[in-house]
Amino acid sequence: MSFLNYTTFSRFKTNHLLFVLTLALTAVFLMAGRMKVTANPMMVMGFDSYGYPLWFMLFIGYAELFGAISLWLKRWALYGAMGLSLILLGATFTHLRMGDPIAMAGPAYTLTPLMILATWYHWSATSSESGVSD
Amino acid sequence: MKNLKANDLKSGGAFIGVLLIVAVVQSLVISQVDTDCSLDNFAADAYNAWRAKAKLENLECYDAKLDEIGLLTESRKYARQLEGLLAKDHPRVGYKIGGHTPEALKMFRLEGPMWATFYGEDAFMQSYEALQIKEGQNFNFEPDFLLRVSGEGIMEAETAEEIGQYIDRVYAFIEFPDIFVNFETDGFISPYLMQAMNLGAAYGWIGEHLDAKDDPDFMKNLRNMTVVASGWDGTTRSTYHLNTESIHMFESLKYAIELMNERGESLKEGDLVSLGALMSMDAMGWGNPTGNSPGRHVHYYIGDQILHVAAQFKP
Repeated sequence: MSFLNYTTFSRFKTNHLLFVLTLALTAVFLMAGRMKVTANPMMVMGFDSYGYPLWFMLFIGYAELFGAISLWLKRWALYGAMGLSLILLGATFTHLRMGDPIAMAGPAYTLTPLMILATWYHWSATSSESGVSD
Repeated sequence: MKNLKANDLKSGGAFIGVLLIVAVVQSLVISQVDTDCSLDNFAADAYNAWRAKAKLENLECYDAKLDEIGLLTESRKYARQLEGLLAKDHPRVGYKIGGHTPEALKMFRLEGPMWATFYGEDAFMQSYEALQIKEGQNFNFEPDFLLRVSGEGIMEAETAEEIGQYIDRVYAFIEFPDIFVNFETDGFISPYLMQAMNLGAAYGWIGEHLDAKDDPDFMKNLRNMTVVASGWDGTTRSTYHLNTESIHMFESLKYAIELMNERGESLKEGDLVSLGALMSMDAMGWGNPTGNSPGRHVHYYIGDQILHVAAQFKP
């Protein structure tokens, strides 16, 4: 079996928007995840100011890195997308709770619906690939 | 839910568990801080760092201990001890408010404003004067604003209008706090350590001024002031509008009055108080500016007046 069969490229053939979304979201989460797992001072300060412990920041960073990779693997794309959606919903909730200005919260507000859309695409693709109707 | 397979969920759950363990272990390793320092020695170490223009010794330990206390009022006690050492050999030349608006306090999660005192014969330079930068010295460029107090009556003033009666001159002012920390390698320090270090108050360039008596709409024009910070080649780095702040800058001086009362002191005629940084969030940066350019310009648009100040540095 070709390696490509294990990837989400087959989904991109019929859904070009999903390909664009995946490229953009991968770039964002690889960068954001890397900053967290390397304990970038800005990130550490930010999470600390929100009252989140260091281990939580690191965990989110690893989740973002592996989540970004999972978006390219057919078996794991849906799970990764759901996980990343959860992370972004958490970020949105945090920004709203803290009353952060749009300059800080804008990225989360923008990416959340895009990630949810990508999740929906993977859900639909998984359904049709396995012949599931619900 | 048939899209989610039980085996995948089990494998995924186990993988998440592994990530959690890795994250916890890594956080424990990162959090290892040498706690073998005493805050009793902080002022002396901070003074030595100030004199040598070098990194604060036992930085991480002091940061951890002051962060654990977590009170700006306590940090200011250590700052006063540092000031005691500075004042022995250096004249006091001005004051500074760190976090001069409610939104700045909220942005930086401060429970109150921070306060610093400038010491040193060379602290305030004239526009375009070149500051010798030491290798590895770290600064934060800040387009601030200097207000001159005209009388001790300001200590009894309560409203912006009343306070404004005691401000007779304003100056264009660039501040270079000498933080003694390399944020890229040492990480950010807590505001509690920052406050204890007297906010790194070290240098400033005083530029053109405007007298209150020369502007019949002095208070209103200051409210609508625009501050433009640019690089040496004139490229704009930041445009900041004072009317986006929730309070007038005169009202910010209430923080100064409170903090001077806390010290048991009084603002007097001729005292200079700095407010800032008056710059947009995305332009706030850290590190040695000489890597980018030999200086900075700041223009202040007040009514139909423009005040200018320039900072130059040489490696």
